Amino acid sequence: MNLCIQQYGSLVWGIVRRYVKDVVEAEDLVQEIFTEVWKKAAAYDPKIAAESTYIGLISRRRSIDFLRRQGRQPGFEPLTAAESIPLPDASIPSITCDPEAVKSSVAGLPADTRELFHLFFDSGFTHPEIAEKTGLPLGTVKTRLRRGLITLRDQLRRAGNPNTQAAS
Amino acid sequence: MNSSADRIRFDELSAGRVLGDLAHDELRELDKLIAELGENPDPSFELLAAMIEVDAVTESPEEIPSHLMTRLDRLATDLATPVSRQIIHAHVPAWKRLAVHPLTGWAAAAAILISSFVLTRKEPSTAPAVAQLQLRKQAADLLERNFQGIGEFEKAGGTVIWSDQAQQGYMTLTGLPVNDPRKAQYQLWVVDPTRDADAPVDGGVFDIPTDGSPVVIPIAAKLALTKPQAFVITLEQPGGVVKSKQEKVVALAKG
Repeated sequence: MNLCIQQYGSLVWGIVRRYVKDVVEAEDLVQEIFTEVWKKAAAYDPKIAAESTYIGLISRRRSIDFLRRQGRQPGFEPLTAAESIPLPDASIPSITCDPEAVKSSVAGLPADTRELFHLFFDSGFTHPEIAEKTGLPLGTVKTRLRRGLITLRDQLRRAGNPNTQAAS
Repeated sequence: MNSSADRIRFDELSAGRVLGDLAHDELRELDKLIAELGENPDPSFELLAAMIEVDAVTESPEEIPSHLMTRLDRLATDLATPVSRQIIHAHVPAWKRLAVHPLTGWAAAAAILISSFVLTRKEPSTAPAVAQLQLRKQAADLLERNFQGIGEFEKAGGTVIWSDQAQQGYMTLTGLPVNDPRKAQYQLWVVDPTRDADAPVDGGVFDIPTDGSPVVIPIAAKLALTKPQAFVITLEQPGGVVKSKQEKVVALAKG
C-alpha cells in the first residue's frame, strides 16, 4: 500500500483537486480513495487497464460522487444512496485500453468537440464554466461531450486493437 | 421509444453519468433503461474518461502536500494492521458500550481475513435490492441484525446484513423520516471490535427519498471491517461528518 501511495499519490491528488476545490475536503477524499483502492485491489485486471487508469477511474468516480453528495454541481441534484448505480467492475469493457489509440481517436474528433474535450479533461473546467467560456448553451455542452465520448468508444470498438497492451 | 432509440438514449445517459452531468430525472431514466434493457452501462465510457483524465493530470502534475502524505502513510499502516483495543464500560459513550472484547488471536485472524477477501472480493454490479439478495444467497458468513428505532425515531426499523469475506453489506430500512439532503443526511456507523472503540467506522451517508416503502442502502464502509459488533444510524449535517457527536441517534442494530 505504501508503494501504491508513493506512486499514485500525486495522480489521485491531481484528479481530486480538479473536482474538489476545498483543500481539507480534498485531503479527506484522497484518503477515502486509497482505502477503496486497497479494498478493491482484487477487482483489478491488468488485461483490461493500466494500474494508473484503474486508480484514476476510482478517483474520478469518488470525486463525482462527492460533488453529487454535496449538491455542488450547479443544476444537478444530489444523488441519494438508494439511487446510486453500482458500476460494473466485473464487466468486460467493449474496447481495449491502448493509450495511443485513445489519443489518436481524440485527435480525430470534430474540432468543436475536441475543444470541449480540452476544456473539460485538460483544463478541468465544469460544464457551466465551459458554457460560459464558449457561449454555448449548457445543454449543448453536455450533449457534445456525451456524444464525443460515445464516438470515441465506437471508433475504438471498430478498431478492435486486438494486440495492444495496457499502458504502464 | 423503440429499442433503437432506447439504445441511443442509454448510451447518452451512460456517457453523461461518467461525465458527471446527469440531472436527477436523467438518473431515474437511466435506472429505468438499465432495468428495461437488462444490462449495465458499458464500462468503456468510464475507462476512456479515466484514461484521458489520467493523461491530462500526468502532463501537469500537482505535488501532493507533505502532511497529506504523512496521513496516507498512517492509513497504509492502519489498513495493513488492524489494532485491537481495550473495552468499554457502562459509563462511557455509546460507541464504547456497543463494542466487545478484542478477538483472541486477532492478528492471525485479520491476516487470514484480509488475504481471503483480497482473493475473493467482488463488487456488486446490480441494483442494491438485487445485490442484497445475491449476497444473502452467496455469503457463507452472513451476519444479520435488526434495527431498533431510538427516541423520536422509534418507528424506524429494518435489518442489516454484512459479510466479512465479501466486505459487503446492505441495510433494508423502514419508518425513517424522509430527509432533505440540503439540511441533513443519515450516516451509518459500524462498531468494529478490532478497531478503536471511540471511532466507529464510517459506513456511508445516505438519504431516505420516499416515505413508507422499504429502502435498500448499500453499506459503504471507509475501512475494512471484521465481525462488526453494532450498526448505528445517526442524522448528521449534509455530506456527513468524520466523527459523530451522536446528537441524533436514529437507530441501532447489535447482536
